[in-house]
Amino acid sequence: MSPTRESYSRDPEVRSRWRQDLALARRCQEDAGAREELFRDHCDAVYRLAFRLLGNAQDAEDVVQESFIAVFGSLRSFRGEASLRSWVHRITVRTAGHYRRRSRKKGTVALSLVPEDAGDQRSEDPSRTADARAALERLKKLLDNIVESRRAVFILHEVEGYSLPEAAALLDISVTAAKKRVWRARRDLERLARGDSVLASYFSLDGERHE
Amino acid sequence: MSKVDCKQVDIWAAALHTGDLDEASRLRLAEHLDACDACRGRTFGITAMVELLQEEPARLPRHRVNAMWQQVEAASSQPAPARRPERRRNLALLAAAACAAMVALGLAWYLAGSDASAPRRAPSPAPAAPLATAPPAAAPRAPSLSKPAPQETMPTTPASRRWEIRWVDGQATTGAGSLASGAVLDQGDRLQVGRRGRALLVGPSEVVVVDEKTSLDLVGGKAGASRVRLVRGRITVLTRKQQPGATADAEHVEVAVGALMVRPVGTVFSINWTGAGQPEIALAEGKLLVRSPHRTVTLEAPAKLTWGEEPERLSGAAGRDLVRRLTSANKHRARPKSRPRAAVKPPPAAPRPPSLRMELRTLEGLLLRGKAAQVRARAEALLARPGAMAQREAPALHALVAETHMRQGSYARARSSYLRTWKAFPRTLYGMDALYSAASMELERLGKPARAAAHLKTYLSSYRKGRQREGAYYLLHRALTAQGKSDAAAGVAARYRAEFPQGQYRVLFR
Repeated sequence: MSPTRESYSRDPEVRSRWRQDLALARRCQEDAGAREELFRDHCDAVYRLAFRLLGNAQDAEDVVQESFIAVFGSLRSFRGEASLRSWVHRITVRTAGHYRRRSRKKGTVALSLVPEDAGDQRSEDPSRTADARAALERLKKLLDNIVESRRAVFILHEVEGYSLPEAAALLDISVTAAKKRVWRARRDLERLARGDSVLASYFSLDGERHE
Repeated sequence: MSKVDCKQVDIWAAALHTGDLDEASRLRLAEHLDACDACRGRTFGITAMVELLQEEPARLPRHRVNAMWQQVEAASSQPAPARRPERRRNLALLAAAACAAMVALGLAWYLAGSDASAPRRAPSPAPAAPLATAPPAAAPRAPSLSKPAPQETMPTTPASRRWEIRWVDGQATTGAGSLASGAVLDQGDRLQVGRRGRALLVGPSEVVVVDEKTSLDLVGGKAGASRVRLVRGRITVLTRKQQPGATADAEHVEVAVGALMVRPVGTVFSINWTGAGQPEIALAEGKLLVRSPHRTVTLEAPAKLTWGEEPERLSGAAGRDLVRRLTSANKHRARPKSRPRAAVKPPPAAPRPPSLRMELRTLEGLLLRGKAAQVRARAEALLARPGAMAQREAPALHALVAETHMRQGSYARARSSYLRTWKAFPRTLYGMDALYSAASMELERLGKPARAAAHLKTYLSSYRKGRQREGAYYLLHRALTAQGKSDAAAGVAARYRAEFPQGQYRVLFR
């Protein structure tokens, strides 16, 4: 028999939250309004997670859509053994992984011929200097070269601030494995960044350089 | 206290980050970092890079949320027939299990009955044949002729971003092979139509007529938008008219041709490009924004544009001719002479009206694209055909009509329509579900808990094996609670617990 939710926590507050999550999930199966509520409540966090994992807005939007389609398709299987938020994020991480592997297999679509809309709201903070933007782009490319399993846990834990147990649960790995991967990702990142002409300066201590 | 070695710092710094360093070790690490520039640089370098990543804004633009929600909802809230494959798959598993059991029994009988001294023969592979054939017979219908069926829970491409070949004449291929009518294409596919061929491609909100010797890529657009990249040849695009207030990129196709980007603000246009030289664009209706990195041109219908030259506004007969030619592009079937020599299956000589099943499939697709009113009109017309009510698809069509009302927010009509479906087909799955849906609507949308309770009681007493039985208990409990009948609600909860001791709502009924 699968463990019931009560076996996970005796904290009445947690139990009450789970009960609400389960009720919301049940309502979502029948009620489009509830689904919309769920979507609007979580879309920002899901987008942010997908964006961090994939590194660009276009892919992140696709993953948000795919993730919510998967969420709504699997609501019946949500048993309230974790919070709805964790469950949605877990699906997002998995969808982003699938998406990333698929895009790599198909090859990236060259969008250089297709300039972004001038009126696009997704503009960056104007205060960011060109140097910082260039460094960020290089850094993302370096991250792409890190092994997927290490990269994901590094981003979840270091960049997004998930605790190690949370990140491990999202990726279906043990906490020990998560720790190892974080350490290895840091080591890989340092090795790659030292070989990059711009990012190597981040390891020197000569004055203000990253603003 | 021993000093920290430089080699250890990496491990200690990672441990610091993962919260595994105790206070004493933290102090020793800090001491070392104060004294050692190299280690400090290394540790702070990673931290600075992490901060750089964190500083990048990652917020979903507000104006995208609505468009994305519509896409997600359209793709995920399938009408009732979409749930059938699950049942069929269960049946398939059951059939496969039954066959396996029969094979195992036969084998056991054979081994037990055979002479122990006789050499044992390997079991014949023949009995296993039903195992191999059973799943395809009961598998859910394949939506694509060129692709495997997508998974239900983790689709590779959102359904609303797929393209369907509505009809094809002559040779049309993707990388996976030749295409026939009904094939589904995903983002990333390249469609090629050969000499004397033609195809009609139906996208999420647009229709593209692909002429002969044309090659195009289907690539991902922004949220809600589709994007076509014309490699060479000629296409005519008919898009849905924009609703007032809609953003320019919402639910519309964009066509990339060379370095140009063509975005419709209206409805009908064609593009012709040989793959070299300048593309020619003709606009029959609405507006077009044609953009290159250096120049943007707005065209108003009827007009023609050869990129690099001034736009030509057409008037009089030339304009009318262009409008007539483009707006009826998708109505032309291919030239009769364009039949290929071999390998392509010829269409039937005398076109028959599509079967009710095909019509149902088309209507389901249309409903997903938000054409509720159109779907309802067609479904009602189909149901009015002589003998239609006796056909297998009639309950599904009835349920589809109710679904259209629901999609349009007419909950009272949807409820009446569901009740009609139930009364007309009480012994079908659709009828059963329709009663449940009507009750759900009465409770959730119409604020009529008494009626909902009455219908739910009918459901529970009539359908002992109804697939929404658990949900019906839950809704009935809510309906009774809403009426202040707490005793009756407690009785329902007790019945639920007795019938579903491990049910999904048991916590709510505690």
